[in-house]
Amino acid sequence: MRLDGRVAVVSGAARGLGAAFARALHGAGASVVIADLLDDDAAALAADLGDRALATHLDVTSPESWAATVEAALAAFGTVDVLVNNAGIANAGPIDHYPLAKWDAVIAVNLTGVFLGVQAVVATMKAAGRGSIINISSVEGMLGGSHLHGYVASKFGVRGLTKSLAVELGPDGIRVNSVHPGFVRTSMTSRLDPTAVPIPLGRPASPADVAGTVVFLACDDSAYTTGTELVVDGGMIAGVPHS
Amino acid sequence: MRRFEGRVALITGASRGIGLAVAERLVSEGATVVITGRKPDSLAAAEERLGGHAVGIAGRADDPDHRADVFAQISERFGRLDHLVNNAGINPAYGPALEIESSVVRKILEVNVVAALDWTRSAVAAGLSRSIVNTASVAGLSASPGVAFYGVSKAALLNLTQQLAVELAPGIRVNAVAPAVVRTRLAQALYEGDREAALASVYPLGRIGEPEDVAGPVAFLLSDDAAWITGHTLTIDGGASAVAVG
Repeated sequence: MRLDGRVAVVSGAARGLGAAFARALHGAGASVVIADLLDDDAAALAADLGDRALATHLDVTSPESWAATVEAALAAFGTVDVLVNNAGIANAGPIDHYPLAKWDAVIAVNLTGVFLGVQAVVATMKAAGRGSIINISSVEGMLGGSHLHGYVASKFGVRGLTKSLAVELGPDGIRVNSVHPGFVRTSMTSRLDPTAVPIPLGRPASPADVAGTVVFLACDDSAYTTGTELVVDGGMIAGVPHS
Repeated sequence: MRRFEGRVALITGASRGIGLAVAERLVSEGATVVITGRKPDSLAAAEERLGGHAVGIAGRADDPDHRADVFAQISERFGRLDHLVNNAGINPAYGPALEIESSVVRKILEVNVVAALDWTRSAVAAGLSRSIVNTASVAGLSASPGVAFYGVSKAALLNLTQQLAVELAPGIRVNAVAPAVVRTRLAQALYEGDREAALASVYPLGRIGEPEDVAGPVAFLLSDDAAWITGHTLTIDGGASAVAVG
């Protein structure tokens, strides 16, 4: 299989998109580390996957927590070939009533969490001379969205960080790309009305619809693809919206 | 991995280079391919290389009679068409845009843009069922000295990709790839001799592209792994376009 012998760490992997990524990577042959704050859900997913799966407790805003997850990955599987920075939160408010605490929270998880994840794995990947880092941004890392100031800024930040990393780490054989999902049905989007979002393909995505992209970026089919965006949105941002 | 088992794909400009690499990849995953190319000899060699899984039909991409012949044969032999790869492209002129003859400009647009639209129109009329990938170029994303008008034509193809994605949704997905310099005859003048080392040094991954580097992403975009992707341009350039300052 495409990822036989490879080891992938997925943050925020206990449920939603992260769980779908962990399942797909595992299904393609990889060993997977299901890293999440939600210990019970992470353990349940690891147990369900069986061999080649490990749950770890991860707070992506903590360098020590990242170090512990990478140590556990190395102890269990010997290396880290793929890092999927998936953990994320969203909050919203009009700019004149958007408190600093909300801004700080979303930047800490969505942007600083990615930075810390890369710092935690980069020595291992450099030593191996290869690696694929997959940062989960959003269509809100391509375009704006009313009230979503911290979220949009963090997701554009992830897109930019992806490029600086790709340029710097390319000579080490490490590829870094960003994925930009549109409207995916998860607990994060449960309050959105699907009929209010114009999607050319006609329906919101399930997490599994995005997983094929993560497997593609993790495997050698994307050997020459780095520093770029993959928009997975059912065509939502391909056209100017008209009502 | 057999994502294209039982499927039929039409790939234009597939005698060599990226088109042939895409054909080989799809055949390796179970597809039957119909390939086109200008020169009967090299097309026959490509057909041979693809074993019993390919039908080669020689002709020019901008020739309506050739196109009609291809779709008549697809209908007769297979009665189905799952995928189209608009890969045929020309770059007959190197140099700045201001120095290119208008007749050459029209020819480039005719093959690289108008023909892609015509093949798509015919494929849809023939019942194309799943997905399309257009082979564009990073030259269509920003100014590319040396291949100026080729870049203009590829920019048009990228916008056409988005237009068609919206028009053909939800039934058919349409995406594009934008490779940088790939080791093919079309790009040979860009990497010949000592130019290759100089080029490779500005790519973060430290090398120019190979046809297989494009075939994997094209197969991904055509396949159900990309079922939620349409209207997208996937850049395949070893990181080159992410660089602001080296």
